[in-house]
Amino acid sequence: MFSDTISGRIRRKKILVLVGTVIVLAYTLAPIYWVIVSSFQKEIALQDRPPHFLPTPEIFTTNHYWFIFTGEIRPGSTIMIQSMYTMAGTLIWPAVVNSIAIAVCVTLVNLIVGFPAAHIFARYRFWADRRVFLVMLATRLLPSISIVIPMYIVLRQFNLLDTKRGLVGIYSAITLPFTIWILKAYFQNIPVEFEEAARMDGCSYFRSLIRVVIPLARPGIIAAGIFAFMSSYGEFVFATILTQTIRSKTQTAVIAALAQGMSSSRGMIAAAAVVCFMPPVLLAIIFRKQILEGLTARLGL
Amino acid sequence: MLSPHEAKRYRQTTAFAYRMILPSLALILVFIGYPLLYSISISFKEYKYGVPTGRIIWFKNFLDILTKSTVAPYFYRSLLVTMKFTVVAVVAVVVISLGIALLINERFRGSGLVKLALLMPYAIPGAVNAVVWNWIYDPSFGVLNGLLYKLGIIDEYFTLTGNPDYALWAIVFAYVWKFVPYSTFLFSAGLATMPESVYDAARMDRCGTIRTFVKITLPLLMPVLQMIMVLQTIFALVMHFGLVFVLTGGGPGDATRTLAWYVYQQSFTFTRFGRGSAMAIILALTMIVFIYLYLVVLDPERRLERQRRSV
Repeated sequence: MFSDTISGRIRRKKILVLVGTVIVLAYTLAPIYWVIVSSFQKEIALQDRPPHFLPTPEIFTTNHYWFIFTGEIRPGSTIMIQSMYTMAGTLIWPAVVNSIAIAVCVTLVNLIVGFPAAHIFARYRFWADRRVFLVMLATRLLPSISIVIPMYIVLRQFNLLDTKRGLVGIYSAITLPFTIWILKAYFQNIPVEFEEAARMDGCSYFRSLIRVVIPLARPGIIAAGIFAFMSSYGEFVFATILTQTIRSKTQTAVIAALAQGMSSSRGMIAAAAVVCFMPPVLLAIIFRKQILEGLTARLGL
Repeated sequence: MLSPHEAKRYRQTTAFAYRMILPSLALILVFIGYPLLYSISISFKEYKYGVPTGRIIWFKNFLDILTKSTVAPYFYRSLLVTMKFTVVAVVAVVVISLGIALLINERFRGSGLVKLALLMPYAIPGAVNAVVWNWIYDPSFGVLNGLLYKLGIIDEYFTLTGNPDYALWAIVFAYVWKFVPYSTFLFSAGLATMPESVYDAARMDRCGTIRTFVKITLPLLMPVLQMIMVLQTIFALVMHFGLVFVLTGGGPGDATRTLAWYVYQQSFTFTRFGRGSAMAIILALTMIVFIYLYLVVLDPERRLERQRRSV
């Protein structure tokens, strides 16, 4: 009797977990499924009511991607539909390349500049350590919209308006505090004796960093790099307000403008969205372990 | 009291420490500190299109925002919209992510899959998220309309983002979708540190699932919960900007004109940089309260240290 209720309870729990899993998976994946499916449908099919939930052979097409990557409209579509492919669509790929280039530079700057700073904050005690550190973190949490006006003026002073370098500078500054915070958490987990032993053996400060700290803190360095990459890749406010041409426009700016064209091809917009989210999503899948670890490292959980 | 030798060493190491953090500090000062000061100085000026040099008018911009009949009512309404958005978004994010975290921590086969799926909304850039939801909400061909239509809930397609009653909630929904994973991971990590023995004891006492949650899990999770709530508030106050930009443009009317959006409008639509900056300062000051709460009162740093010592 007793064991019966227990097994009943376990079974009920199992069913509950299963139902919960299905709901959560549907909730998180449905929107993504929907854009991907839309991006492979003919424009005509996208205008059907109700919409098609599967890309069956008769409505399947890769034309939207073809247009984004080559700028050519494949023959066979009507004039009406041809006119829905706007030039902005061809800017998506160059903009994604811009975004990646900027994000890679930001990541490098973050690691090169942030690494020694994080080590200092993790190991040294001096008057300003905590204060400087807190102020730095606070600047990261301030709204970017509140500095975007003077930022425009500052960039103009340095002759950096509408350049990738300008954005690299801004993004490096806004991502640096978190990079330092995460690295610091990882560095503090390394026993200080290891570094001291290296110093005893005659390593210089920098050599001990390279020989001891980098190998031991590798997951943290990867996590910090990924966060810096993802936040500069997806940054919105500066990207939309401070860029003017495709010289510096990032995917954020181009796709936001693209979506506002009410009569643009919906399939093209969906394909553009897929192209834009692929790089960070792939990174997230590859480095999922480091990301999950890094996220919790900085909250001190 | 330090001996002269020790004092010298201390000075040397301190100088070394400052030298190592200098590049980071310089970057942040140039690209954040300087613009921030600049922003404050602009907020004291009459700085608008046609009058770009700006006359210093001290607190007039702030006074205008709070009292002048052509801005103040809109400003207060934008505060209200911001508050509505923030409260609903934060509560929704916390409740949903706690639920999912509890599910993940059952450690069944497939919990890894759920985590992987959750990484998608987390990794999708904000602008793309906005575009995705714009397509879902599309009044003519959107899948939301399609689904409701197919299920027989609606007879005619309708606009969500063009309706003042729904627009804000459409944005909240899209926002919550993107921000749930982040706090789910934090909750999940928090739950993983719960001592197993307490739960064993609860099971011995034949404590029900809900009772166990309310009496044991929730109190133990309190510090994490507080931290996530404050952090999410900081996010919710500004991170909706991209969604508003793409989905509604602050409209219809002023249904989705949040404070962050109003700052943008004042500065870049009405080109009143002085007033826009003053509004931006008000937004920043509001956020500083929460930032202070997060960094100083809740202090994740000290938590980290405490945990390290206990290990």
